[in-house]
Amino acid sequence: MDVVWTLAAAATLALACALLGSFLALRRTLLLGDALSHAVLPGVVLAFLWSGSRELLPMLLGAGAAALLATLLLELLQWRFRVHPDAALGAVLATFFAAGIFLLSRFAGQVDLDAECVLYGELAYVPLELVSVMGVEAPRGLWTSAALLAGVGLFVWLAYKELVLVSFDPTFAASIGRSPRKWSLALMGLTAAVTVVALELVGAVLVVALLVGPAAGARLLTRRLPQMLLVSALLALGAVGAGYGLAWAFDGALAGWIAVVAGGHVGAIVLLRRLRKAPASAQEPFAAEQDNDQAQQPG
Amino acid sequence: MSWLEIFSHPLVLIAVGGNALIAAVLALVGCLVVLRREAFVGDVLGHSVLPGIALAFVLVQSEQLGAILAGALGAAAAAMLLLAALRVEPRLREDARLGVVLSLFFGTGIVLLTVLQRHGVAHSGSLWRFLFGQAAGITPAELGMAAAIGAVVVAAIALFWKELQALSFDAEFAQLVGLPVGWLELLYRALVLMAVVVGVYSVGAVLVSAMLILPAIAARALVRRLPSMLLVAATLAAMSAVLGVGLSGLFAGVPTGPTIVLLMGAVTALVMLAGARQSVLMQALQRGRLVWQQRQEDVLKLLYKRIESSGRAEWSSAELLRTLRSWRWSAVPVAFWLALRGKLRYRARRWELSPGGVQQARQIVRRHRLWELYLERYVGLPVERLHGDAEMLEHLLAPEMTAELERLLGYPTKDPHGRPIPPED
Repeated sequence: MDVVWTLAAAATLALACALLGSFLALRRTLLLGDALSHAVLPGVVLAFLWSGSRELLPMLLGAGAAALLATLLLELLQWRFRVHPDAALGAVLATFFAAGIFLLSRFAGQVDLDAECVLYGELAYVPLELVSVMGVEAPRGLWTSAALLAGVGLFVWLAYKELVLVSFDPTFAASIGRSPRKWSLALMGLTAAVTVVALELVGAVLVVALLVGPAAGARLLTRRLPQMLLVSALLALGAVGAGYGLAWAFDGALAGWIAVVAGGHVGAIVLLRRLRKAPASAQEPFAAEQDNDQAQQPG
Repeated sequence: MSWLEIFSHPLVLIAVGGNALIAAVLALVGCLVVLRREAFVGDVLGHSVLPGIALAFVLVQSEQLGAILAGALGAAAAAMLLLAALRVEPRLREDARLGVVLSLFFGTGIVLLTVLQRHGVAHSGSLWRFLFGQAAGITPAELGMAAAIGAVVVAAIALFWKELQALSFDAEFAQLVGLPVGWLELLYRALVLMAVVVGVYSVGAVLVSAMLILPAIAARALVRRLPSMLLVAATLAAMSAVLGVGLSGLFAGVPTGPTIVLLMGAVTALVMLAGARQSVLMQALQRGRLVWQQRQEDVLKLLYKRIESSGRAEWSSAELLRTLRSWRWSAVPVAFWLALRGKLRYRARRWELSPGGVQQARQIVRRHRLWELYLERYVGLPVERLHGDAEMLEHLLAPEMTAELERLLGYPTKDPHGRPIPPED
């Protein structure tokens, strides 16, 4: 049963990440997920110190505050001081994460959270803490990640049209009165929320891997958004399953293995597509363009 | 312990020297990285050294400096190659590429480290130091290595100064003027690799990118030219490192690596708020100076027009105060400043404009009225709308423009309201 709980929690979280990551990928802001997942750390630690427990609400509030501050700083650095977005992101990420690590080691005795756990989480401990909601007993981690998936799913379902519009053509969206800024803020907020839940379950590394990997892989395999969402979800589930198998066979941290699969399969897809393309274009040099089109098709 | 005690301890001295050196080397390379807009590459490479370090540890079964270093370099180089190889896929954007490489390498690193730990391989716990660093625990051998790599980096930057500069600012230009861009690119990548690996010894894989880019961002905001940028970045970085090691020695439970990075972040924030060219403070100061100057001109003009309308050129203190206040309260300190500058003077218990003040006031009024005339004649604005626009332009018109305006209007003597236009002095 423990295995099922662990896998269920990881899979739920992976689905939420894949769904969110697809939109981040379209907006080319995947690294924002990376930055936010690091930047919420000081907020989470402070919330821990303040509330003295692992209650989700204070943690979410702390993380939200940290994410908000980080976002403000990012905007300030980019627009006010003309720092290149890349550098701004890197600077904010690193400083915030350093602050988090600082707090963690400074108050090591009082925080039930250590630096390693922040990096690769405690998936294996998921089944230890069972909580009963409406008569159904399941691990707390599963409840929170399920709530998260429901939230992300609801958001994407309700705001699908706006998200598509804003992601593909922000200028047009702005011209017909939609606010790309508002929606990108909402995406950022959700990303921050995902990060907080994930930080406890799977650690910062895996959040990045789950946000980036399935979305990037699906983007390579599909051309249309609904298909991309579906494929990224499948890839996310596949990564969790394969990661679990590898961890079972070769030992090592489950989160680490899932990250390896989530990142590695994109590299494999790129490689396979190259291999398939190479002989074809060697035979028929003039068919290169047509071949290119074919290669975009999945399967 | 006091500062003096801390800095006279040999181990602390090694830590201080080592960290300052490493920070300076990273800052130098970081300037190139930031200029090339590859700030995130440092982050990915920093994380990517982890599997290399773990593998090296498995192979030699010890923390031998050379092996660990080789492993770290190899893994970072592999990550760099993969990053370049993934570029064949145009649908994989830069952000996805970086994320994928990061996940793959760091995930592998975590897996290897946890395997080592669970199998109880001796000392593998100390491998964790490469994650978050152990800046205070730098050994003399590591100091030597840092010095060697630092020397190589400085020598390379000095030798290929012009080429690297061209590459950093405009790679296309470098190609155009016939520089061997391929080799230079290789050199640049090698420098980044070496810097990142040596940085891992100080603050660890997770925080190394901060040391790479924070000082560079701060320096870039402070100075314009690349040589000064390198110098400023290295200095800021070294200072942060020294202070960070000192603070962590002074207070219990203050981790060295994060403290160094936090100090760098604080320095960057400070620079952005106060020191930088585009900083909040500097811009506010500049705007303030402009407003202050305009206020002075306004007060001079006010008094000059009083002379024009009443024919009286001197006022008692009470009269002056009333005149100023009737315009706006802030005119009082402005008048005080004008008095200090000698434009307004107090003579025989009366206030008057000095000859210099009169001269300046006439020029302002002249610009104002010339512009009003121009607006009426060439733009065709109604008379009642001329004043507002002229109120702004009177502060901005350059002498050449004014002369040209006068020529264009045929050297007029009266403005649209029929008031005299003062001649040029």
